Amino acid sequence: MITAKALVLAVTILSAALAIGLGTIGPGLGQGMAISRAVEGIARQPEAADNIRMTMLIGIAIIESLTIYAFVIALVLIFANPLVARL
Amino acid sequence: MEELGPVVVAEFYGLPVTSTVVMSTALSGFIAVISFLSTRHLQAIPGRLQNALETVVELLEGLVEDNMGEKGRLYFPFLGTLFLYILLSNWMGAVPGLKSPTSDINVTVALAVIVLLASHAYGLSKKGLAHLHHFLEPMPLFLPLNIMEEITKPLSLAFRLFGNITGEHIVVAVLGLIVPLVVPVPMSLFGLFTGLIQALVFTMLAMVYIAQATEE
Repeated sequence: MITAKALVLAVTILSAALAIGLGTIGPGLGQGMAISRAVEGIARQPEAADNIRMTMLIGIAIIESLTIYAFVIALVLIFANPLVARL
Repeated sequence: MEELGPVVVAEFYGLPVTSTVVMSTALSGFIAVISFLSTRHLQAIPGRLQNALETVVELLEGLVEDNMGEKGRLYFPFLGTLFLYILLSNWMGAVPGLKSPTSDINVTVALAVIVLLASHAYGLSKKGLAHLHHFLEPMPLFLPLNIMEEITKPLSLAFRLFGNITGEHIVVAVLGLIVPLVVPVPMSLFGLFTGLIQALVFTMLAMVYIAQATEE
């Protein structure tokens, strides 16, 4: 017999893993594109390398925040689950 | 994984005092004391401490001026303080026994709300009530969307900083559980880099928000 709490816990763990797993796909692709363009730019214009690198790093950090949101959701699910307390 | 989240370490007249409060106060005190000591006897030929601090201040000033132009000098004290506090509190986590205040979501939300209020205060003080007109741009129908944007700004700022720093700590902690020797060290070093980038991103976005609020 599966209790309600066990079910909620199982689904929670699964969804936390899915959140971080699916959440990394988009930003991963986006970061790859951003870096490839930045490398192209640096290869074409090495004198602008510092500027391009700086802009790329900032851009990447902002793209990365999408994954971080998924990560925060996963953290909330695991460490501060609002649903388990309600049972 | 006991180190995740703030721990109540003491009680002050019934108010719980968490480790975050202790660390954050210690860090603020550290920054204040270092700044005080290095600027008491300013000299034309700087000593070691003054030289180090001058380098930091000049770097930050250059960053603000590159992004906001000459008028950015007005907001430099606020942005510089923000950057130094976030940078040092990110790096604090790499020292054994200390905890990053920024790995507590209360701190990052507080910082983000400060940035939001500051940008509106600067806008109001520069343009008066005309500042509020940007809520009705490009047409009055957009009012709910504009208000929503003002809410998501601090939300994303706070979650980005909190998630990055906490994630870094968790990765190091998990690596330490699996292989306690040597292996967590490169990850910890990478954490210093992430901490710098995140402090930079937070300050940059604060800069952008303030520049948006104060533009003519």
